[in-house]
Amino acid sequence: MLERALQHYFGFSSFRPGQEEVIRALLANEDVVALLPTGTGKSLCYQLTGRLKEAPVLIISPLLSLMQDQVNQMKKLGFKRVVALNSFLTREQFTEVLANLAHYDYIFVSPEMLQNVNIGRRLKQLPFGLIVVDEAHCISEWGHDFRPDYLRLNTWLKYDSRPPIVALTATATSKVLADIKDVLCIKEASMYLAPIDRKEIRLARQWFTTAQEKVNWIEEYVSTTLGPGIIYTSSRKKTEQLTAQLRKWRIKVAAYHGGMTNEDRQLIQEQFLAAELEWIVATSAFGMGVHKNNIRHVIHETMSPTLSGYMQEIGRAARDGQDALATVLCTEQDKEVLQFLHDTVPTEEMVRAYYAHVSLAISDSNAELLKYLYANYELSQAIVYCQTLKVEKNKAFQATKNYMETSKCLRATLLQYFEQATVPQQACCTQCGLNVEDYKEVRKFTNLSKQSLDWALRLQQMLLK
Amino acid sequence: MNFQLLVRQILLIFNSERTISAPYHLLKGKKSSQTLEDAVLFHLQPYYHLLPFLTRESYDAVIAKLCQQGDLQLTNERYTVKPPPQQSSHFDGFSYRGGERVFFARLQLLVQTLSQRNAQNMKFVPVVTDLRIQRFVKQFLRRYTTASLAEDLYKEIVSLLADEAISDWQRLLFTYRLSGYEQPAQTLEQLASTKDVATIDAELAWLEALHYLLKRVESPLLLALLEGCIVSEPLTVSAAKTLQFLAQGYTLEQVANERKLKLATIHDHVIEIARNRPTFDITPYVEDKIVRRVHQAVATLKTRRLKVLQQTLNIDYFTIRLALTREV
Ligand SMILES: [Zn+2]
Repeated sequence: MLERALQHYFGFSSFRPGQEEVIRALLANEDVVALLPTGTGKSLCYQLTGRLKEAPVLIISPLLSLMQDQVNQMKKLGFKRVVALNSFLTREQFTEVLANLAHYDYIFVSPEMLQNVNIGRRLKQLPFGLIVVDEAHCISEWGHDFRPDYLRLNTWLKYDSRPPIVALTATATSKVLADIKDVLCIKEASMYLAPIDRKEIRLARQWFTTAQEKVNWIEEYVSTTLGPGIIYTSSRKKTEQLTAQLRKWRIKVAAYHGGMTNEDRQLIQEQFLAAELEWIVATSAFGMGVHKNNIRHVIHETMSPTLSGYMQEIGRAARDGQDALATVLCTEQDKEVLQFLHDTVPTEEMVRAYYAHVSLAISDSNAELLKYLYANYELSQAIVYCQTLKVEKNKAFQATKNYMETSKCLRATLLQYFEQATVPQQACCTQCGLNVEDYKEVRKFTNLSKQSLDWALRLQQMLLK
Repeated sequence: MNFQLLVRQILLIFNSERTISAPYHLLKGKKSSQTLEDAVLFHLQPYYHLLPFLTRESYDAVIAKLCQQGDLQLTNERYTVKPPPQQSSHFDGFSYRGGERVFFARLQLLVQTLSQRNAQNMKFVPVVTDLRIQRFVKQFLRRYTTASLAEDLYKEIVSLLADEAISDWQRLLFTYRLSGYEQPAQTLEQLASTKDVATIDAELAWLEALHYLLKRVESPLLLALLEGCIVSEPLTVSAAKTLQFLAQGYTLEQVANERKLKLATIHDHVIEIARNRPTFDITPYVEDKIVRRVHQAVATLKTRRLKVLQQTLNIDYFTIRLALTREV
């Protein structure tokens, strides 16, 4: 019966691992915590449940850019009554949406919007069949991407007629899971933890002495290897520099980062999808909502700050189940930069100063955290909180560093962090004797001529049949 | 005209009578009366509101570059700029004030929709997310339902772009920023990189083409897309001239003398200016309490007829008319 519905609404004949179990539990009104790795159709779980329950669905999503993308994707799939309540709306649009809330089948909302008393109350009056907490690992400071704002869900979710909750997460260490259940007040949740190992993604690691050597290596790699591929770097500026460098080889490449307008980012994504671009040089802003299934290479010019982040970024490769290569490039300096990134927890002095209302020069993320602590904890508790956080961040850093340095199997090292075991496989990683060349398709240089632009032809192709 | 030359040109016209930041506010289209009146006073209307998304960083970068090249020297509060080579441009920022971007966004969404429709694909992510633009295009499509709509639009665009005053580069910037079925648009940055120019220079070339072309639109579909995008200059030339004198501190009598016009004509100008410019300060000509008295009289007498008001209040016509340009 469920499969018939799947066929009817989505045109698929069978579920992917995990989807069916999650939907069954939700239809039985159970709360669910589900770890479904990126690219396994998380959203289908709530889309289909909403249809079957014939009730509206509330999706709480912490990342604004992701939210817009999800709305777009749903509209593309033919869902009409979808809306996002977030700070992108103008005041007029906002009033209009708020006045017509009952009209929508799927409402996306950011956690801070729920803090608005009026909106929070209005939403509770709607007969939701399901509440989705997306990217639920953001609730936990032990996960990557911690959002203190997300913790406040705790209060909002306590109401009598609350429908079942599904918490979707990309990370599931036991600490993160405990936090998710705790904050969402779901004691009796059903758990679906899909194995996160992606065998078809071969892991490679390469050491260098200078940053310039990495750039040379990337030029060599990209100019001789067929994409599609993503190169992750650590800053906006680097994406632009590297793109300019690669364009000299007439490679169809573009930069993608959070400093670009939404429209431009959307265009770059679509060009990548339409194979007009072969390579993307991006910051971590790129990836969520990129529905391209034949990505063959993910290169990290700089290692991601956390292994969860790394897992998510390489997980964008090989959605078609064919082989792909994930390569991380390392230098000694990278370790220092990473250490610095992890050193951003407020110090005891900062906490004391903040509680004493002494003005401070601090980062935005620290300001947000301190504001949250101040509202919820005594000074002594806040100090302990920050100390624990620092210890945990340091552990996350050590794990990342370990991945860069280990002489053991890379896959085993990665999965160990997620408390999952590995099944030995052939050509697993460069530590286990993977020959990278076996997984690269050579580019034929003759294909690369300078793109010629013809305005009249383009107009014809767009508007004449 | 590229960005460096543009900034030099504006700095030259301001002639160090304004700060080094004045061109930035002018280009951003700051709505303060200072910036607006400056645009008129210095005849800088063409550049007003050209680049609403300009960041202070990129502006400061170009200033630094000009200094480094020796084209600009900063000396406490003042500057000296080397005059740029004479260039004519088609910019008319004051008449559009962002309307040209609205027009283009409507065109982008319309072309995308028609192209997808030709391919019988009605599920796509709209290139424009602004709900007002989406609503406009939806209404447009309800109004124009002929089967040949895409073809008609094609013909209109081709004939508009045929104008010899614009370059092939500008035609590329115009067409490649449109998206079609399986043909996503190029970003300005991508287009700029094909010609090795800065993104902002590509943006200026695109804007200049729009400013020139949109005034020459005579075909029905494009005219309909232009609805409300051009601010017709509200001031007559003569009133604008009076405004320039007033901005320099002349009294009404002095303006009349200087321009050899009747005082009554100058009064008419002031009324015209006050009506069209909500930011124009009328207090030098009529006190606040008089404005309130006039409005009280309007409320009690339930009329705006000047003769009645004049007889009741015993105030001159000019003052009453001026007071009525403001709501209390
Ligand atoms: Zn291995």
